[in-house]
Amino acid sequence: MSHEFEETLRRALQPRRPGADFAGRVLSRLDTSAREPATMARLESKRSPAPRLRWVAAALAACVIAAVGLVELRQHALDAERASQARAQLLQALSIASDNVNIVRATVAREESPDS
Amino acid sequence: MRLRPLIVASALLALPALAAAADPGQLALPDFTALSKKASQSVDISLDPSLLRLAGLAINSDNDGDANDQAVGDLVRGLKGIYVRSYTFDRPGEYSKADVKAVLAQLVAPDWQPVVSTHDLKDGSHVDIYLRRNGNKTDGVAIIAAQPRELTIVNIVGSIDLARLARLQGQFGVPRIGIR
Repeated sequence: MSHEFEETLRRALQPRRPGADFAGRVLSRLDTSAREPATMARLESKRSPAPRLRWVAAALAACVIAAVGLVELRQHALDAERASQARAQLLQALSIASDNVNIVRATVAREESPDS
Repeated sequence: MRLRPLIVASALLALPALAAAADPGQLALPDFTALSKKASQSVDISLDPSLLRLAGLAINSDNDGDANDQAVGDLVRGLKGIYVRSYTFDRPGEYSKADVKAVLAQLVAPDWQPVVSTHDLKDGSHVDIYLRRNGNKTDGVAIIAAQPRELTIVNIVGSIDLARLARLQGQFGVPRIGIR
């Protein structure tokens, strides 16, 4: 049994000729494996900036929209204030005009009915 | 070819005159700064068409079926401007007829017609109402109220119903200014 084991082991450890194209096969695999990391690196560099730029663009657009919205809100508030002031002035102007028209009416009424 | 710039320049110079003619019922109110400084109370209101429109929008937006707001909205619908200068003084004699001369000079026929002129000897008040008519329409109303301690000038540009205006008296919580 030990003799058979030794024979098996000797046969397994015997050097074998790799073949004539062995060197070519090894070299070709080396070139491919040497190229792949560079390709992967290029792909990575192409992929990674794009999502980042998209986020930056989206954030900028959101800021612009928010700024425009704030300006519109402020303008609306100013317009509402101006309208309120104009309304108050209109009512005061009409009140003054109305009072004076009624002074005239009262004076005319007194002159037309001096006994009353 | 040299005529063209001249024509353009003439047209530009004529624009202010055309603008003034657009509102014939509007008076050129003088600068009453001197009177304002002497007055204990003064009111200076100038509502041009854009401000009147804003005021109308504010009234309509607040209008929850309120009758007073409805009345005001109806009254000012035909107006193009309201201008008020009112000054109340502590003592009589703080203003003179010369102060209103520039206004009275504009209220001459045939454009402006005096419709009512009242003089109350008891309290020394004079109130004159002028209308500027354009056919059957009224272009403007001018009220000049001179009392011993108060001077009020009201210019309403456009058409307004004076009877409806009189009915608004005392409403809206606006304090009267020395009017008895």
